[in-house]
Amino acid sequence: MKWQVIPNQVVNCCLWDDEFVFYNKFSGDTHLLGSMATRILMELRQSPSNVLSLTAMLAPCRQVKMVTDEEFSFQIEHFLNELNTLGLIEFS
Amino acid sequence: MNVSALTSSELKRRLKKTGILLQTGSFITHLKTSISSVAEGIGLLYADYPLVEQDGFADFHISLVRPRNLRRWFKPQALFVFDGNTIFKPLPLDQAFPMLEWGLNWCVSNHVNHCLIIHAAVVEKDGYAVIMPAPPGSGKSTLCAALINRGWRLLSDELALVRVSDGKLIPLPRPVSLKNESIEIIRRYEPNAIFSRKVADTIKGTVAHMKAPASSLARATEVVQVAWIIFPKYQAGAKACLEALPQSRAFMRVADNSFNYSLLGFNGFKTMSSLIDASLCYDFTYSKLDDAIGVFGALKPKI
Repeated sequence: MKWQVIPNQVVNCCLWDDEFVFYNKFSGDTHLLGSMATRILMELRQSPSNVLSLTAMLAPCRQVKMVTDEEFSFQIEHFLNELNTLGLIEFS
Repeated sequence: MNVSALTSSELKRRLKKTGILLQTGSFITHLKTSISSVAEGIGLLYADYPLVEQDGFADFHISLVRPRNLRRWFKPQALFVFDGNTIFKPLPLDQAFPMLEWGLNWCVSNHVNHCLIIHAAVVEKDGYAVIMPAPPGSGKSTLCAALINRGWRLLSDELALVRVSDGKLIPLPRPVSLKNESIEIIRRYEPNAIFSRKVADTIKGTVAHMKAPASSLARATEVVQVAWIIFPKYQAGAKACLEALPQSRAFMRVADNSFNYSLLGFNGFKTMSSLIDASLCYDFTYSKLDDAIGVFGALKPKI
């Protein structure tokens, strides 16, 4: 199951350093995304992807080296659900 | 014609009978009152402000009145009236002039939506402005008062007005509101500064207002480009220290200090994004005003 960026939503955003400020035009809320959520979004902007591929692509960005592959994959899934809740990504 | 062209008795008479049309920055306020402390405050702190001819257009119509209740015999009060409606609860009569100042801020922050409005002091030097957003008690107004007494131009000590159409800052130079210890600190720092009399026991403690420099008033219609956003914080004994702040974090903090960011919707987001893009953002802690002035004097705009 692949995720993709909702094209119209990512227009309303600013990328500064490795953080992302995003305006949700449906709710009127503004969100600050941390570096990992931003990296996921940037990857999905390139092309739709699934949890497994994202885990592999983002593995070098793991902040805590002690985290296992399984835990990291779980974190990626959590971020994807968060981005989906914010209305930034959807199933492709 | 400026307010100073009127004698004290003529100003009082006009305020009582027809009211005056007072120009502050790009706004005109029709002000009417028979409360003598307000007339005295206007005469002292607004002496250099232009008066617009009677029957002209006014952005805000306000009056300060004494409620005709039983309390007027033993604890007289003052009431702020906007467009014929009472907005706030009455305050003790002694607080009428501070109430006017707070009411004028309310008029702008609740009605001016062609600008993104941020709760912040704004000063300018050599064509570049610093926005200083901060919660009450952070030392924002104290620092602002010191800066404008050392060569910086006052745009506002309370409201940064960022024009949505082009991101330029609109000046609104009005008296600087100081409270508690800050009043004596600035009196000592600049003995020539002109202050309203102190009013004790307000919701903010003891307050007094400092007259805006005439040089700032002379440039009250000159818009300016932002260069820095600095979050000041007074900390006893701290060395003056400027610490870079990521722009994403600055965005969220400035939005938190805005009166109408949400109301403006996507326009608010676009205006804020441009503002942050154009600015170098910092946290700033200080304890000595001269050190702070030195740090501000050494600021370099983004290339």
